[in-house]
Amino acid sequence: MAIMEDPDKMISHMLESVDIDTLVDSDMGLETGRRIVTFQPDTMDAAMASIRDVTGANVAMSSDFDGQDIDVAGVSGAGALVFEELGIAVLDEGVGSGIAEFSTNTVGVFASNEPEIFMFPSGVNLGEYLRGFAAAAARIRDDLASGGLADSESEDLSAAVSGATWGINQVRASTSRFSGIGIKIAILDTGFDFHHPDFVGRPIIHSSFIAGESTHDGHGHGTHCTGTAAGPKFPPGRIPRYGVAFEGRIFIGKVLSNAGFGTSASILAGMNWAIANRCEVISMSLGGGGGPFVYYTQAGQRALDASCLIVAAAGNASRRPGFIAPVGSPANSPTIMAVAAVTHNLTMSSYSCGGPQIEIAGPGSDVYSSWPMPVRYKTISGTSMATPHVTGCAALLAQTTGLRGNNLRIRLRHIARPLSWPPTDDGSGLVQAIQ
Amino acid sequence: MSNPVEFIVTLAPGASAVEVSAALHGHGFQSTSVLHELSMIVGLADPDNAKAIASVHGVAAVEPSQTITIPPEGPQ
Repeated sequence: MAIMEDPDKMISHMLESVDIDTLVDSDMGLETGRRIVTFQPDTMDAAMASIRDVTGANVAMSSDFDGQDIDVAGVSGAGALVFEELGIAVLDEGVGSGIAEFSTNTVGVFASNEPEIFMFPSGVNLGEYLRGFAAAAARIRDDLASGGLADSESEDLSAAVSGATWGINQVRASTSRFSGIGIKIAILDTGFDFHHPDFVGRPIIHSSFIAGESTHDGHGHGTHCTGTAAGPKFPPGRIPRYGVAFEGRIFIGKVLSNAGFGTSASILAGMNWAIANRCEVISMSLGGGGGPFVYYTQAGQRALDASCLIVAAAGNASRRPGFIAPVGSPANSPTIMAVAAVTHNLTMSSYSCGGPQIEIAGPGSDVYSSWPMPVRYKTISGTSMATPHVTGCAALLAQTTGLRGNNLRIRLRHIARPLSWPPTDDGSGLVQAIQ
Repeated sequence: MSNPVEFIVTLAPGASAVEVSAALHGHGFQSTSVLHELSMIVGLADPDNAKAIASVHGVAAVEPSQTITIPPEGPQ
């Protein structure tokens, strides 16, 4: 492996031979295979000589670059890279092994010889990231084995390979050609963090239906759901992609307080607003008991009549396998699309409510998405997380087919991926993004 | 009005929100908002008046508003 090789390729190589759960649960850092050696004071020349003599490595020096501004691509092929200001060298895998043996027998040159570790931004759920990465890599391998991908899909490979959440990969948003552009997506929830850096420059229409509270998300749930439905295609740094309809037009309706509560009246006010704005997809990751209520059923019908589709969480009251709770309201209204949740293994999430109202399922467990600053990202679980996956996929489908309302709902169910669960658990199956 | 409860009044097809709202007022219903897109009226009323309210011409249903929450986060 040449020094400074793409970290994504390195992760892929590592994941071929490890069990992710064991790796995440262990106390070991994730080693890249390279070694980092530090030099004793004033031993630069001796250290360099040792590296060349023992390993025969081609050595790149930081002083070779103007202002020591190292061009990563410029050192590919080198077996060692020396940071002269630091008195530290990064050694390629094979080179490092040779130095390891040499340094234990050499006094006075090397102060330490340690493994290089992968670093991740704070807030990343490591297991989530690696599972998503592994799933993306496996999908690409399978696609290539089955006959390869069309040229038009090659551009999306970079997103899949560089990392996306397991949910984004399983609904195939990572390989979709579509973005949700032009489609209005309303998220009726706790609001949104308008200062979140991943959404800078993204126009957002918003309105609060909670007396005394602005649309700013003082809870987090709304920001998380919005991220899943419409987060960026390429989040900054090494953050995996977590959003489906990355060019969807975002409408934020604050119908739940910063404490996470609302009333039917606040929910209906938000639904009324979203329909008045003709939002093609309206996402509601909320619920209560009882129902179906006439008012939610009528609201859902009014939405469909206005070419809007309402998608709602089925609820988290189950304790499977022993107890499957009925679908809560508003999801249990026949005019509203009820969403169940599955895990990364595509098993039913233990908490996912069930019943004849379930129409479709989405990734719900261990879902990584945006969160209000300064936390920035968070991993949480629930049918609340499954719902915006469906919302985003509905937006992609609306964009490419022109379908709306009930026709959109029917087609979304038609292209879902069947799973091995009864329809009362997952409806038509796992939602899929149109390719 | 003692112990007012928030109700959602769903209008029958073709009913006028303005006319129904006026009629509801006569039965002790205090409208707080009209949701035109949904054909609904939200307001406060004594629970004992619910039946009378439901009998007003143009009313399809009268239901109490309920508390809605974020479903408790599922276990990871």
